[in-house]
Amino acid sequence: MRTGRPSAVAALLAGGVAALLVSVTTVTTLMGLAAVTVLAVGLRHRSRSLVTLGALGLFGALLLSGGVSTRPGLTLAAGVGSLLCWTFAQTAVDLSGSLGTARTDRLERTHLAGTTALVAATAIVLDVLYRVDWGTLPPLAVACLLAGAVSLTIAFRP
Amino acid sequence: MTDSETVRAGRTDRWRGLAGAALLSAAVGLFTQSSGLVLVAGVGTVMLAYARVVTPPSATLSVERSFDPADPARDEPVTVELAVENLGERTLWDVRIADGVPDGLQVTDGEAALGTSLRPGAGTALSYEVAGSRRRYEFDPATVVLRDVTGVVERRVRLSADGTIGWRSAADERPAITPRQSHLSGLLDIDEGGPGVAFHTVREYQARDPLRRIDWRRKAKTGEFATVEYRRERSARVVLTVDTREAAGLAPASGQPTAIDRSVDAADTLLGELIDAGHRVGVAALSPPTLLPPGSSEYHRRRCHDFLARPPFGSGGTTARDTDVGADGGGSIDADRMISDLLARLPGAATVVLFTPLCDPASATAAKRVAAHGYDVTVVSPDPTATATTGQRLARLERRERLRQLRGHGIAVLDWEPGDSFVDALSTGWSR
Repeated sequence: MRTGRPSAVAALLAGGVAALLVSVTTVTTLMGLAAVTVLAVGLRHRSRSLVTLGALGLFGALLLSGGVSTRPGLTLAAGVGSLLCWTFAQTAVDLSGSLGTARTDRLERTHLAGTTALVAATAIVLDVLYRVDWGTLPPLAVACLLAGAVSLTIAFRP
Repeated sequence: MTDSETVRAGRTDRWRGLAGAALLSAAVGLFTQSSGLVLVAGVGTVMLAYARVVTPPSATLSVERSFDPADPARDEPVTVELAVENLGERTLWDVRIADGVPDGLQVTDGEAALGTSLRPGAGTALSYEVAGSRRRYEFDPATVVLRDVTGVVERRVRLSADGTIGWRSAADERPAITPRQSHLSGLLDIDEGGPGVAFHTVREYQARDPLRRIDWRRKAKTGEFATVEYRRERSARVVLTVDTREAAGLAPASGQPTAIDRSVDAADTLLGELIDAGHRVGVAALSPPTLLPPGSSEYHRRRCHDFLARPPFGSGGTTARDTDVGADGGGSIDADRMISDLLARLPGAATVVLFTPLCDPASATAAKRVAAHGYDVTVVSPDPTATATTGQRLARLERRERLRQLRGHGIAVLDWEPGDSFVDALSTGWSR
């Protein structure tokens, strides 16, 4: 199996899902499709620039769709898909560049599973927090609380 | 655990730009009152926090390199296996290994790199095939990159593993150029005491003898100091002497290489192998008498190689003639003077390898005279004779008689037939 292929396939899958979730208007649909196409070309040629361009396109479509979407869960899922797509695509390019044609399937499987678990778990926790009835607490306060918790975690890093 | 040297430990650029994306997402989300985008920003922020908190994995690896076969024959491919084991108590999620293949060694099959993940106590092996030609290649330490599961932090280390491989040369695989093994087989044993490894004799102690060579057992028994002498080892001095006289410019038929051409090719082959084997090698011609004194450096090797490419060795020296009876090599008086000139130039205690077709009496005389002066002589004789005419058949018989006479004098003679390669002749031509 070609080095980086599992990561490339996973990146395209995640990108495809993200493109599907952001297609709430014609513009975002077209942007999503174009981004995934650029990403696919970048992965074919193991080009970091094209991969980054594709991921940026997907993120642009996410911002546009998020601004008009009324379903936060879908936007969050699209964000998760975009992030996974970006990081998996980078792994594919990275492995191909550093290890040539060496065997990497085990490493890639571990990376795909580990990263997906981490990002998905974060998204689920945030979604659950979002769905809790916080009474009169505005969303901005929740965001500030989250940012504070993260800052404290970093500050108390061993 | 294998000795490791950390080259770098820190963050990778994997999530470069994520902070900006999270900030932009939060800003657009707040501006458009989109909870979804704020949540996306939250995911980005948590990932950034993770990247800040996570530390590069420890290099708890052991590596061991092995070769199969360990002592390869010339041109034989070698399988290199680098066994890697995680001796730590944590899983190493992302392990990238690149073996330190030395310059000049070619990977012919497989990859000298591997990407994997290793649980505590688990191991894997990296296997690939290499081809080389030199006697010694020293592997560099393996480079290992360890990353966390997402690939945002890494530790780059160099892990040492024993790794030296060398190929046997053609000289190792065939009989020595002379049947007397001591002449050219690796280091030359000489019957002289001194520092070394093999016991030679015990002599009276002299001031400034090293303490480690004192015979303490004798001291305990007799109370007298004595010094142990070992068999001294040194490399041989070899002079490859090509019979470049007109009488040696013979070939079985026109258009075929002459005995001089074949001698020069064989001398060139031996030159490299003897120098590789640690000997000091010189090159000489009989006519005109020329000598490049023995040496063993890389520069000397190139110099000898160039020397052999020029007249009287190289093209332009002699034109090919058919062998026939009655060739006298341009006169025995000239031949005598050439041999005297050669003897005057030869270094002391050298092995002389004389390349000559032995088609005239002077060539056999040359070998005998050099041997009579105390040199170890080996004759390599490219056979230029043919059997088409009665004269040619007679010339062949005369040549065989000279070979027999030289062997009778205790001189080793390699009879090298026209169709054979030099290497083939070495395995079959000593007794023909």
